Amino acid sequence: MPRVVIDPMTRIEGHLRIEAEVNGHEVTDAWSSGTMFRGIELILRGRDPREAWIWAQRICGVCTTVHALASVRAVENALGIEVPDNARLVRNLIAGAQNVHDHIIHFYHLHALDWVDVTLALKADPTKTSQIAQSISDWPKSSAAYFKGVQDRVKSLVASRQLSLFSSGDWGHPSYHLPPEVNLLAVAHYIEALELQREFIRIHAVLGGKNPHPQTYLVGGMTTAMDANEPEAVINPERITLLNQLVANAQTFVKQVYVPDILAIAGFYRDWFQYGEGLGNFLAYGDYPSASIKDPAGFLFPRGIILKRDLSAVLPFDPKNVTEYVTHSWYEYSDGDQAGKHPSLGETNPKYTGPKPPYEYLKTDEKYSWLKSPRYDDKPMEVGPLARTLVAYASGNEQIKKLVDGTLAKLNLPPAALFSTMGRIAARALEAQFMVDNLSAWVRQLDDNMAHGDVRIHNSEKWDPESWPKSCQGFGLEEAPRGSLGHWVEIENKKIVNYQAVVPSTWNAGPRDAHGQRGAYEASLLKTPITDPERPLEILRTVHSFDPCLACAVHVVDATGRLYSRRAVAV
Amino acid sequence: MSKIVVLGLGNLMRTDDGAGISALHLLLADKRLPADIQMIEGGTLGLDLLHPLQGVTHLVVLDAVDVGAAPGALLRFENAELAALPVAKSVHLLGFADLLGAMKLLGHAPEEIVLLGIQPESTDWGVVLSPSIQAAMDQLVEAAVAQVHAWEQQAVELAS
Repeated sequence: MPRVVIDPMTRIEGHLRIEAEVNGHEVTDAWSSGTMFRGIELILRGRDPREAWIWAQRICGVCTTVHALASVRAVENALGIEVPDNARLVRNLIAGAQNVHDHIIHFYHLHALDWVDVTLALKADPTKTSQIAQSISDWPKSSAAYFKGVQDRVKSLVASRQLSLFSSGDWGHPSYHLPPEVNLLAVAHYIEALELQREFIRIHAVLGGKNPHPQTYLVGGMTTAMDANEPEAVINPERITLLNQLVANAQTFVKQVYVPDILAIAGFYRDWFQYGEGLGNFLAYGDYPSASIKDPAGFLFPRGIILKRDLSAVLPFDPKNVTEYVTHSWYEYSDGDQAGKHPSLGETNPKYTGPKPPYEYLKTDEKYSWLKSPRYDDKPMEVGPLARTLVAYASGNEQIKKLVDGTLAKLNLPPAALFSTMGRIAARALEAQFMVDNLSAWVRQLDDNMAHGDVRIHNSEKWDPESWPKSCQGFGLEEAPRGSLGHWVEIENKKIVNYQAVVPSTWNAGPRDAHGQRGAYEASLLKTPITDPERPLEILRTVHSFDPCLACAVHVVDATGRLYSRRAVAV
Repeated sequence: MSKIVVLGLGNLMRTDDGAGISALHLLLADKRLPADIQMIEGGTLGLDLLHPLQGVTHLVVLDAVDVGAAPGALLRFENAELAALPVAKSVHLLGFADLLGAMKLLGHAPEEIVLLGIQPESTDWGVVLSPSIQAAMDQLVEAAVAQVHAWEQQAVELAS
């Protein structure tokens, strides 16, 4: 059976490998493998739970901050700590900014070049690009002279052979369908997005002390001191003004650039609303509390489950029903590998049984991944922006319904079109808009609290380990940009005795389970059309539509061993 | 107005790959460079460095670069020569090549970029430099100091 392998070269953020069976011009089966061991769970054993977030945060350098939040929430849950309102707001702002930032970078810098052919942008007529830009948006950078300038800069970069950003084995691939002028538009916005993201993430520098990896978390709250009369305070009126500016700029960009670009590009790739669906099961833990974390009804992103693409019912989520299998993962469970384990009873016993590298193919009928297989009620689930959008849509969230229905109407598509590769991409853009539209309210609440003299940012009642029970367990759930994230912690005698992180890319990129059910990536690749098996651009399109954290760089090797390289941008 | 920055790149957990960072630490302890010369520990970051490098006119990059030379050999690349670098040879250099490209596209790349590299012996896991690299550290630091001084001298001459 002809098998196409896509494997990254060593790069900063992790390792994802896809093996796909291609028959004729279609993917008939696929296996997703994480080829790098994480192991932070083992590092955390025996440590003070109050410092767990500092370590856990380093699970990832791209979705920076998300593991810190999940970790403090898990420990607070175990110890029964409620954080002050200001800490809730600062956490919402840090996480919300991360969501918007991540989505913009993902689309423009990690995914757009799967749809945009930079070499064609060089052939565009800037005057026509200007006309298109002005017909789809009020964004002011839209003159013919502006696009000519962009084209010249890209030309000189190409001429200097410093192609790094734009190097790809796929230029000229027959599956690129944008006219040269739209390619130029997208390339111009790729560059503008570089600038925007650089500026916008200053929110993390203000509220987190630094980016990546904000340093201002504490079990019980945050360290971001508030004082309306103190120029050195982390949060004061001057900082509020800065936060408002940064949010407003991002809001304009998302509304006038990101969302119109998605609509324009999707219009030329309507067939991709048919491919890449995958499981049809969607899970969202929900997030962004309006009051206590214990009150999911007050979450901005609702909690729930959608099964078999049925948007008429949002099923309740119960954390008890999460399990992880290792049947096809390089671990062993103490009582056998056929049954799943709840993360609170989770085990991390690595046991590599795969082929010795370098190898041609993984033994996909045995164990083939460092990722476990998370399941909900024994079913595989897709998590991420599409899952959140669908759960919110089916829950009747007015803001999301308006965004989604408006987009579907513009593209003249039914809601079922969302179950697809392009649906995933569109949902991410709409979510970015939903998110950025809500950030300013949190800044305002922070400002109001400060104006009313409420500057409480940390609850220290249970800071002293002497106040803790002898043993306790807890979990922290969160919606990270890539999807539902959970940390489970068990504390005994003031130390961590067990820690398990079930991360979004494990839900999406995990391997088959004991029942042979495919993970989300694996299922989404079935029936993907492949124009040229030597350059399986279509596989990258669908896998990248999930925003895989582990695939900054991918090597493409075909069955005869020829090597193609495709790179996205490291962030 | 020129702004000179020294950027150290590398992964301290991958033995000699961390040579650029180790050299930066030595430079920080060395008092010869004036206080207005900013030194940035870039680690393995890529595009996250866009912000700190905004407005930099003269950039010295300290890094391990594998060109197949003798371990500890000092390497120097400037401006256009950087395009010909073996980008895939370092654990992190791809991120730097991307960063350079991004700065060019944004139209605010430094006027002058000098990469002072050192040929690693090993980039395996480990936090200690190979003896051959350790022995060459002083030379790398001297080269960085000399480069910064040359630019400062240039600026003085231009001003007068």
